[in-house]
Amino acid sequence: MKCNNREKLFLFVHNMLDAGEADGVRRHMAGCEECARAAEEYRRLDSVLDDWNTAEPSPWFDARVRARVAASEKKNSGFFGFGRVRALAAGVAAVVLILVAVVVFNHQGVVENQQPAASQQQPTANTASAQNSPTTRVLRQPLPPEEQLKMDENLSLLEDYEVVANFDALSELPQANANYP
Amino acid sequence: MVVDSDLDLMLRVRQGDAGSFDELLRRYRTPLVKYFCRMVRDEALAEDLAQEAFLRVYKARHRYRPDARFTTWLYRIATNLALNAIRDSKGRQRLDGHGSNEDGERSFEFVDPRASVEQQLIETDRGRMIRETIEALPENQRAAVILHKYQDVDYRQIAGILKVSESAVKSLLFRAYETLRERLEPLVRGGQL
Repeated sequence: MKCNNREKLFLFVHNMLDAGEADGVRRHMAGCEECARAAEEYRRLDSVLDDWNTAEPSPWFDARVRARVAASEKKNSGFFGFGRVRALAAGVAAVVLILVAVVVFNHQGVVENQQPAASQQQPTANTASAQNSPTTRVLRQPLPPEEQLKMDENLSLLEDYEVVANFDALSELPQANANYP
Repeated sequence: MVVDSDLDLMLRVRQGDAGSFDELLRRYRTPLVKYFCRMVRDEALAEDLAQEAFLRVYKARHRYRPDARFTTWLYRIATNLALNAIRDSKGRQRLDGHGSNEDGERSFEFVDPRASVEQQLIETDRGRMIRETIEALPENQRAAVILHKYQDVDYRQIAGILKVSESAVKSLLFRAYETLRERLEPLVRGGQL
């Protein structure tokens, strides 16, 4: 054992070392006065600590524990006991959850049924206005193939539209170039 | 006469035997009240906590598994209760003005630190010095020292109670006893107060 290893000496005094280690400490202490003194200090500390006394339990301690146990039992066993209330609450919560799930499921079904109808109505409304303004349709959404064919046949209309659409930009072009030397 | 083990008694409590619970109460009421007294000092609170510990043992009887010693289980419940009470009182102290009572005296743990008349009678100056030194240890060290020195609980069991390794308990105890040895040096060297 290394000399003055206080932790080992402490563990030796309090029987927390295995037999081999304890033998090593014992042999070392036989020839080391300092370590033997340190071990003796731990023994004296242990006996000093004996002087801390505390009170005993009161005479009515057991009666109070039994009363608390009885009160807890009563609470659990009555019809509205804690255990029953808890079980009842769990049951009610389960029923509510099932109801909520059913309502949400039905609601989703209604929404899904309504969405195709709405999406069918929307194009018809757009078609009406789009028929009045075919150029708008060229800009905003791709045309169905049969209408695209009609537009291709009426190419002059499309060319006129592109000239009109780019007119502002074209008119500004000379001014923009004039800024450069 | 064959003495029933704690484990046998607890297994019978699990089956609803009130007599076995009474026997456990008889065996452990004094150690438990003394443990709480040393942990929280306030005697009334210590009794209340000890009653609560027994109540918890009773309520948890169906969850008791005989793979650990009964005392490990009991002291684990007790230690959790004691440490919670200490933390609660520290929280209250902060709210009440850093642990000073109405007279401006510094209290260590609780808002009203005055010991009962009985405790004042049994407490010597040496006893008070030892108590104050142990109370000044960090929570885990305090619990370990009290379990080891006053409750006669083996360090392996302390590891189970505090949920730390055995080597951690050895280290915890060594550090705690080193602090006590330094602070109680006048007593250890044989001086009188």
